[in-house]
Amino acid sequence: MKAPPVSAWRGRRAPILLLIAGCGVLLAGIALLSLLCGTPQLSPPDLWRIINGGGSALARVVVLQLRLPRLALAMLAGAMLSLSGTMLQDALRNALAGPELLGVSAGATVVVAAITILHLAVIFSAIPWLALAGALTGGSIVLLAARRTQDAARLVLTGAALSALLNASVIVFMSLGSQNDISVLFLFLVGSLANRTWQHVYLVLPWAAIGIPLALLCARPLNVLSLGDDVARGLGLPVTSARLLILVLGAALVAAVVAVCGPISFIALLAPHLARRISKTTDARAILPCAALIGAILLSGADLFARMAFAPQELPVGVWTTLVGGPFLLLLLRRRLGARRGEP
Amino acid sequence: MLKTFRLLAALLIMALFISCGSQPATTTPGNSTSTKTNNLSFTDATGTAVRLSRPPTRIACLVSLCEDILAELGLQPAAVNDTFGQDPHFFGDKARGFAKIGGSFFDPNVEDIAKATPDLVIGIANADENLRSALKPIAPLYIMNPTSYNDSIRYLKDIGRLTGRSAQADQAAQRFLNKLAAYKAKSPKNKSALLIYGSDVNFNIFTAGSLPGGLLAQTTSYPWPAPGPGAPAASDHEPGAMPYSLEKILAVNPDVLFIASIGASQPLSKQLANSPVWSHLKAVKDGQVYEVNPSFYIFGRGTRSLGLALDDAMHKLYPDVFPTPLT
Amino acid sequence: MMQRIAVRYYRPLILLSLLVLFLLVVLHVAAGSVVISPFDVIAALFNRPVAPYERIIVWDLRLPRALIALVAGAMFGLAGAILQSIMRNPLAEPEMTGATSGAVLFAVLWLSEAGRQLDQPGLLLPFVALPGGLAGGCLVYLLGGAGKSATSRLVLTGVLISAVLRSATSIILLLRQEALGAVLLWLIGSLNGRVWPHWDVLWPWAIVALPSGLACAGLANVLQLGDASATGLGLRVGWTRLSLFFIATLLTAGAVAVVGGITFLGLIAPHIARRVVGADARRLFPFSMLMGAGILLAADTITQTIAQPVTIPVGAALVLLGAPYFLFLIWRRST
Repeated sequence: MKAPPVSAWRGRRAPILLLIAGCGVLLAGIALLSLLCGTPQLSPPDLWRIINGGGSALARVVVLQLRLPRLALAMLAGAMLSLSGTMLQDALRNALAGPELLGVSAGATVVVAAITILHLAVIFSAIPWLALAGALTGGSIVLLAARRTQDAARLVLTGAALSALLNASVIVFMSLGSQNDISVLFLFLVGSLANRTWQHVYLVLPWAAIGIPLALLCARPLNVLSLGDDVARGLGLPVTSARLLILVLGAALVAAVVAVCGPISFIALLAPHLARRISKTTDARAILPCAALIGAILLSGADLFARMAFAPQELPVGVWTTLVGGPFLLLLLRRRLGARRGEP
Repeated sequence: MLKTFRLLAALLIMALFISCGSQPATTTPGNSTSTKTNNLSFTDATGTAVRLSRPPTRIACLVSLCEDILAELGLQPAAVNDTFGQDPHFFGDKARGFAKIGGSFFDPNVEDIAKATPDLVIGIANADENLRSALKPIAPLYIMNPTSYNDSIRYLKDIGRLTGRSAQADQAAQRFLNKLAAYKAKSPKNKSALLIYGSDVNFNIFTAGSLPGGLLAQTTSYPWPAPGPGAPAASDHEPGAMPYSLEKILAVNPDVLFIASIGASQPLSKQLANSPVWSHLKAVKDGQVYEVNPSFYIFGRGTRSLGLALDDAMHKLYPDVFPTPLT
Repeated sequence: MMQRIAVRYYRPLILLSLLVLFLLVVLHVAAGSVVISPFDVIAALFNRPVAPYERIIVWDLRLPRALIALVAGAMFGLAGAILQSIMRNPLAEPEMTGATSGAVLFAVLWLSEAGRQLDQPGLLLPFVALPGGLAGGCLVYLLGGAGKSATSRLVLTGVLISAVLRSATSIILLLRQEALGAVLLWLIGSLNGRVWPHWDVLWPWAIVALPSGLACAGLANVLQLGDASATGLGLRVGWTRLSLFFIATLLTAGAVAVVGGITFLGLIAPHIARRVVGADARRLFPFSMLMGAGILLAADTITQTIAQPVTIPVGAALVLLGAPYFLFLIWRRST
């Protein structure tokens, strides 16, 4: 697919680190804005006071119980989604691969649809856990079905077909529902970070704590895989198992995010492409952390916009990521439109 | 190959003939004939003007509002697609015998409607307009889109006029308006309320621009303004309902919270009390969280449902002022 | 073995299929929540006296629905067969090539712009859907790799692009205040409420598109030999492929404008057809057409009768049927 990345990496270490630092600064800026903006609108000294234990009760609740967990969730979710997307795109060697192919989103959606439309008597705090169970089940079905598949493309098609099947079940549920139910379900379907609290963050945190470092460790196998299956085998990598493990990790990263936020589109697709374009390398050791940071920036930025654009009305963040991400992705890929022609 | 081609062409042509042959066979009942003695025409919410040839006696309901209206007029629906009418305030057990329209909410089974041989079909905007073509040979379609209780009254009077029961319609409308005026007059209006639908995380609120919200805004403090003209309607169907910032809800801090829900294993007040954010609301702290019947508050949309919702809400808001419902 | 028999007795096979289709139509018209015996159906068709509402049901509801299912199914079946032969990929179908979702997107956008209801498509709708389908196909083609090595990469890209277009469609509609439920049911494909006005939109399109597709069978055969051989035989490969794709999109756009974005039909029908009559396009195309018509009719009959009183849209039923079949195909196919 491209020249061996190792030598390019050495020469580009400093610029990559600079990029990461820049992303960090941008992320900190967005974080600050997210904590300040809203009802009540705060100023930095107010924020400082709240952190130190002061400030009005209302401001404390709003910042510490609403904005802070939402921001933390946005950053974690953005990072996890983009890591998963990067790993999938490299392991499957397809620029459009994303975690929705793993059946995880579809599994979570089916569970939430059933609960919402059939009015199942489930207490609110249990819903994300049930969604997580659904997500893991969906992912397991796809991965079990694909475990012996040699061909990357066939694997993805399997995932796509199973996801289509599960999504059709969601449609079947929706045809049973009334307008209000569907309206509420839609808030989940399209992906939203609204009103998430620390309980939701705690659900995601263990998956992040284990998944993110593991993903970063996958950089080297990803580099080898991107050279092509035969070369990778020649270099001693057990291709099928490595790919499968990478997919399992990708699914694990996304399962908790989808269970809590719903399937947010385009972050996982867009962030790796942006990372590759900006850092001008395809070495996974550079791309993975950059993509994670860019994903965090994208999602927290989009969430801030979703919260503030039509305040106090909240539009789910998934609406924005779709409306903006879609054309943006097409723009990024337009260079490929010409390049693809000669490639296998 | 050629023979196949011919056979297929024959099939298509046969289908064509059948389709052409069908046109004279279908009559469109309910469209104007020569009688112009009665002014039995209406313009529904989609702007479609329809003229009936005689007063409708068999009315098929695709929405609860229709059942509410018919109950107020003293009529019975010819067919219904939900169990709303079975409530004792409406038709009670009699409703179990009504003909049932199957299918889903967005895809009512047109054949069941045909079987009921109605003279008029009443449906709601954003769901049933797509059936107009299919219903053409069966009965005219009246699409309603109430955004405030005044619309509900208007539809009530319109159906009353069409069915020749204007007296009952006016009576029912006056009953409702009197009730509303009485509550308005006696209400201290010192408590703020909020009506929401959904879960603690994914919920829509009903602003003052919505049907139930607008009603509550008349008799108590309801500080949730309708969305401005430029705002996107993120809640497609229910005018004036939308997903809302919990921060703003915390800031406004209503005294009473009404949650329209259907079946929860644990009382919602308890579930919200366990939430780290909702528990800061005055309403949750004081135990002023009430689960309300969505049939009356949200789905009914008619004068009787709204009257019942009003009775319920005012009693919960001001129990000492309104220990029993006003007439 | 079966293929040899089928090939030899091809004409009787076609006649038999037509008979089966006719029976399916009768069955479709007879079945439903209001069950009408087949004899009453025939009586109603020939204007003999029956109960008045039964006449309405037969003439005004079920008959147009059955005819629309027949013709739309045929169009999807033929489109799938054409796409599979030009891409030399048994997994290709109108949805996978982005044609369906592109057509749906344009159709729905135009409907909301023009302020029309989904229920009154108007004669212009297929014309609007057509460039959408072509645009979707171009997107998939350009992003998925050149068609010359017809790998499943193209199909993969198609699946992904289709998913993208679908979610974009539903969100754009939501922001335009369309009723989400109604739109979603249309997006997945539904035959509910399809009556004579919808038929009036479909049959002119079908009269043009279906024969065009059938006439291309010879060209498709040559293409299947491989690009090199085809060029050697004097065929302009690029142009032929493009025009065949155009005809497939023509078929898709017309069908989509009336029934919505049905998927998997263009995959299953040619497959079954291929297993019965073989890969010769001159036999495959007509038979795939008939298969498509039969499958859609049967699926609609089943959704109308089973699971009463709740009905699911026929598009959901086809996905529930088609996705497992698709999986089966992926596993059986040797890469």
